[in-house]
Amino acid sequence: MNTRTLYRCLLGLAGSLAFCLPGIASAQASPYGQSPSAYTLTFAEEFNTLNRNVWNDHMWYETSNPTVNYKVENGALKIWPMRDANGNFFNRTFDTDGHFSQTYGFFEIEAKLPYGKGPWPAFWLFNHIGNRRPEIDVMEAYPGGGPDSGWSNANLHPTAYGITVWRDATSMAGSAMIQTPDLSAAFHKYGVKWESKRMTFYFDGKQVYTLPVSMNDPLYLVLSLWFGSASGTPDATTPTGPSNAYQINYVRAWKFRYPYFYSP
Amino acid sequence: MHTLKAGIPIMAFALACASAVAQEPPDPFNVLPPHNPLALLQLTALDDTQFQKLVLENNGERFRTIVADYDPPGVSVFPASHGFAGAKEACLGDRVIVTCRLYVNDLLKVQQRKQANASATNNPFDMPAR
Repeated sequence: MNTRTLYRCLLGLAGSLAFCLPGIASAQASPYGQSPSAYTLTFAEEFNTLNRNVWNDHMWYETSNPTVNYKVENGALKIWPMRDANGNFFNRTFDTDGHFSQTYGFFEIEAKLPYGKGPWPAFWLFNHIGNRRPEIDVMEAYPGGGPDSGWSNANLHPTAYGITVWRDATSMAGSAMIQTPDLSAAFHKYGVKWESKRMTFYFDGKQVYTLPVSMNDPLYLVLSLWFGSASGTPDATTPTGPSNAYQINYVRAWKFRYPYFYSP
Repeated sequence: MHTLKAGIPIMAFALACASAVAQEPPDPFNVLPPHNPLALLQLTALDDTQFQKLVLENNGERFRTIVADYDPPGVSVFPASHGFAGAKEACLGDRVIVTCRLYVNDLLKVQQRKQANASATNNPFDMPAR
């Protein structure tokens, strides 16, 4: 443990015991490519286990599908396309509703995406407040779209992803399509810096989209593997099982350490 | 020369305006047809018992017929929020009452926005069908 880390721990400036642990401290000290001095870690899920006290396995309005299409393995949460007892593909959602939410800050995952027709993997921030449902889609991919759609290649491997910000469920603030290498071939980092009047989105630490927008509700974290939208309807060609999983290495969140970072 | 100099700020302003307009994203819900929102307003006015009865009635057929005027099958909204897509799927697929309330409210907001936009443009051809 170096002097700086020890100093942080002693003064309680780190905001998390994780900073006292060498190795973990360096990985979690800041969002990828950002200055550690600007952030305090508020949430870190490394998926060494699946903590049921933090993660729900279904949306607040639905019951959990009893068919298990997920597991934690090798430090990652894996969610894969699968048919349930009725023979239907079904949505799987992991969220922190009721356990963790935050307004502003930096939110980041490292993930590898599934391919094929139908899967709609996503990382989003969300809340349901009466009829209002503000949402920040940090990453959503549509591998089933095919080359004509721009979302994937001829083998239906995702080669782009979408970013969309919603003030409410039907009120879009902005949207972007980010062209990438094959997102099912390797892990990549997807992040958003959410400030009071602006959101900046990052892919592997590189700024890819900025949106002037003001949203100030606390939002919880969501990792989902749904089906449909621009990915189409899953069918017999859709690869199922753990070998075609949406794999998430980690989910982390930070608060800004200084007010001026979010009050321009 | 003076004319050229005077023209620069005007052009810059015009470009700034054009840029501001360009930043306004197209509404993905524009694909949904304008329609008199009265039926949606009537749905929102129902109490929970009446609303649930209507949603479950005839295997949900009556409810589906009503909302199809506002969100026709085969018309795809893209991008759609997870909030909207999830509520719609849980409502029409599993008839989860709370999501049907949300779905109806969403469709009502879309129609009210269409009405407001049509009023703003004052174009009678943009007004919802009666």
